[in-house]
Amino acid sequence: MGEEPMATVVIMPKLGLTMTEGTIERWLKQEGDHVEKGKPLVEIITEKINFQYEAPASGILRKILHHEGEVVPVATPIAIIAEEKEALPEVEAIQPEVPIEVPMRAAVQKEAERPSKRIFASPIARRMAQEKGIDLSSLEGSGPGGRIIKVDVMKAAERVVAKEVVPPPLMKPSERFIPLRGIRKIIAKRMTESFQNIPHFYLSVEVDMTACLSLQEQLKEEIEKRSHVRLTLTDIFVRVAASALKDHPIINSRIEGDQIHLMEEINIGVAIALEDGLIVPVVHHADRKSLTEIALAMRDLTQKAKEGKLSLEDVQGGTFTLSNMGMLGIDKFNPIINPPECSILGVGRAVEKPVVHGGEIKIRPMAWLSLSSDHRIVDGATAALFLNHIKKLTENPAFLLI
Amino acid sequence: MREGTMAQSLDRTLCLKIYQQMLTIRRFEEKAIELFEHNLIRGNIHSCIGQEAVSVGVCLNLRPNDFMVNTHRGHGHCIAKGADLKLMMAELLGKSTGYCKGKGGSMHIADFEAGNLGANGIVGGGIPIAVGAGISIQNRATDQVVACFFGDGASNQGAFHEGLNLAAIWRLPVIFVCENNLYALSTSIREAIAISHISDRAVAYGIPGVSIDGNDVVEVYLKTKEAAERATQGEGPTLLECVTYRFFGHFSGDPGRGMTYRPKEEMDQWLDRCPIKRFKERLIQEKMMTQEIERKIEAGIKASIEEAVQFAKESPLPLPEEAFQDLFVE
Repeated sequence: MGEEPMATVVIMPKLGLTMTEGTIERWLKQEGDHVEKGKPLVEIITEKINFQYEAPASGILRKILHHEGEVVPVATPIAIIAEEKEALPEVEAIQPEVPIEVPMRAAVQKEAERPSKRIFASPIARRMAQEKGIDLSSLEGSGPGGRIIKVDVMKAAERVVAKEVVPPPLMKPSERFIPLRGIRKIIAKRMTESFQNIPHFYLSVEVDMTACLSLQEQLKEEIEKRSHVRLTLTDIFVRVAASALKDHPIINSRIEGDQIHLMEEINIGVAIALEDGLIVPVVHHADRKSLTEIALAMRDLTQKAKEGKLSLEDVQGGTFTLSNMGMLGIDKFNPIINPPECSILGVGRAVEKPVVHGGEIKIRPMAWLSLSSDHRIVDGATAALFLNHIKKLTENPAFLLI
Repeated sequence: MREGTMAQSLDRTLCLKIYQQMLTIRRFEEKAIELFEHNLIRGNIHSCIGQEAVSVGVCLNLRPNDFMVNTHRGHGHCIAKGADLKLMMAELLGKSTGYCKGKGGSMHIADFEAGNLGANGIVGGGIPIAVGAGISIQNRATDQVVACFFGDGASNQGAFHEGLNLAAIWRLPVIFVCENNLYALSTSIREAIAISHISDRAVAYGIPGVSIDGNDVVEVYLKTKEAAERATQGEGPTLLECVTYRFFGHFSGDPGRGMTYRPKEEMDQWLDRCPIKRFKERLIQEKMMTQEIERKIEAGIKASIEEAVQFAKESPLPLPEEAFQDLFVE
């Protein structure tokens, strides 16, 4: 059709204003496959979403430059699409286009635009190095003008082989490795950040769940009839936490530089366990929602989470997190704070226990509540007041009506 | 325009121009997304792919001295109003050769000389500006008109009510064009208004209001023509609701290109109703365009967009010391 066939370089696309890198989750096509412009080519995971990126051109997927599990900065070449017999551009020659940087001075900018150190090597040396996975920049060339030639790569390859024959110590063939990627990788990063940077402290209190369970029992049927949604204990705890946060604004806060920012909205994140990891969708304005509205929001968020359809809005803006492990049979645990929030409440299972009540031993459903807090923002006494308020509301949910 | 052939209402030259303009907008937007993905554009872009018929159908009724006020999703309007692709692309890339010397970016392209009073990042923010331009026309007693683009979301803003009311009582020559693409960011129009048609609101201001298929460029063109005639004859404003759909997300950072809140079946239906595809089929069916002409048009657009990209890439960035220039009239 009169048009010159031209190889198309596929890049890691920038999919949002703040995206700086993405993870290649899965190649939907393999090298040698025919790809069609506009059809899904590769699955990319960013901090925010999981996205099927489409092929920017039709042709053969000739080369995959970055493989599954790799984290790649935006605009970096990740593959080449070309015609079947077309010569490919040399991988090293493909430079990502220089992103726009704010110039300090015109001269400085010129400097920045210069491509990184150019490597001189013969085409055959390049191909061999690539096949054998040798980094050309680590070699010294013996060709004219320091050019890297075939022999240099062969020598380097021998060294690599020599290294490889030494068996790695204590490596049983049966051991398996799972690359840290996608949502798992994000959890790893965020939790490490939280645990390393936030001085956590933990308070626990045991509460009598009688009133809460009977409240659930009383309302369940009515709410189900009116709004076709099941009221859960988690929903009630969202309401309780929102109510308590209203009276303890210092807990509904975050550290910003040298300041504590008291957040105006009360938005409660609820930890939901998915097959591949944990996600925390947010019930916005939980303090202004009725139990029915909370139950509806929670059902909606849980469903979206399971289908991987949570929008940015659904996971942003949390000011406090609730983690209920009661249904997993856990009595008590110390959750890690979900940054940048100040506190997180862990709810354990309700279990019948003998307790002393008015001088008598009674059987009551008891549950442990644990609060982890950021000691930079609050001290033990402040957090204790808050946790006791939660205890009071849980044991006397009628206070929610005030 | 549901009956009769196009030839009865529009001549061939105009039809080819319509096709050429719609395709230019489509290709420009595709290029803009590509450049964003390559990290060459700062700030978000709002693609109007899928809505080209509204821009072109409306703006082809405007003369160079007529005014146009548009929105954050404004590349199509600018192109249809005759903007220079090179200067637009340079603006998108933040270069000093752009329409606003690279300091406005995608959402603030303005070209007063071509009657383009500017895009606006504030939802509904353009409506009072268009009304002001209408007052200016009335005071100067010229026969210009103003085309004011805004979205379905803007029609729930106070500025919409105030603007339409003022334009109605003073019979200002403004064509209010509501591009109803069914979603205000992620909020469905069904959750945002209690009436079936935004154009029904015209009744409240005592002006004509019509709802049309915004993906039928001929219908948009003819209905705008009527509104423009009314405006120039001193009969006042019209509210034109063009129902359309965007094929991409709200903006370049919309997770999953806006498919987290829109059903796939809905998108498929609208893809079938692509304004460019439909118009092309009609042109071919009515023998107004051969495949050869089609190829020529496509090649011409490709060349001019490539030229624009090259111009933009080679242009310098504005200097830090220019940051405070052009902020005030001196």
